[in-house]
Amino acid sequence: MQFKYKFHQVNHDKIPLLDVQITNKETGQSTQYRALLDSGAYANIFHSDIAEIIGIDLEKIKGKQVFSGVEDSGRKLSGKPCFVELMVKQGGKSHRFDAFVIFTDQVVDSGYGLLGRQFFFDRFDEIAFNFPDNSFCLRIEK
Amino acid sequence: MTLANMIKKFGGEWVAINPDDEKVLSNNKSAKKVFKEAQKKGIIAPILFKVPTKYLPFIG
Repeated sequence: MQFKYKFHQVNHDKIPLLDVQITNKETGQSTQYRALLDSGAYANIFHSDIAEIIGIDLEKIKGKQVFSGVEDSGRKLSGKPCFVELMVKQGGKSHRFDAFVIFTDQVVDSGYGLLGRQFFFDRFDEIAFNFPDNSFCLRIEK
Repeated sequence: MTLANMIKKFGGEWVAINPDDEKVLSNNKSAKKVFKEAQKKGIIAPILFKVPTKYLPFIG
């Protein structure tokens, strides 16, 4: 099964933004969220507002995940890790899986939520960018 | 709406997007308000997107 999308483009920058459905496994509440496919990110990093939308109370999560980016500001970034269900869908096709997401209010204002290696890239057999075709695709054997 | 136009018009805000036609259904600083407004318009699971305040090449 393959999902194929066009890049979002600003100036000459082709940006692989992807819509994923996120569901609170305990309550069934869900929405869709647009985030950046980022193989440089270890994990999925979502805005904490999304947790509130699907009924996850981050105050009740005791664990904390610390992470860093490329900047050298000395600022420690952190978020609350949580298991949710993610689903990619297109037309009549879908692929859903349980996933670890770090919810944080520290996503930079000029940036995006991230779909990273753990629990996103590793849930597909292949994720490929085709710049001449202005597209990227996600493939899963089923 | 293109991402470039979205940044110009809604930079720094949350938007709810209709998955069927990519139209922006609502915009606000509050994700919750944006979500509820989209649901009032009949879209149960809109696409929520925090629009970057400005375009900067993103490295991360």
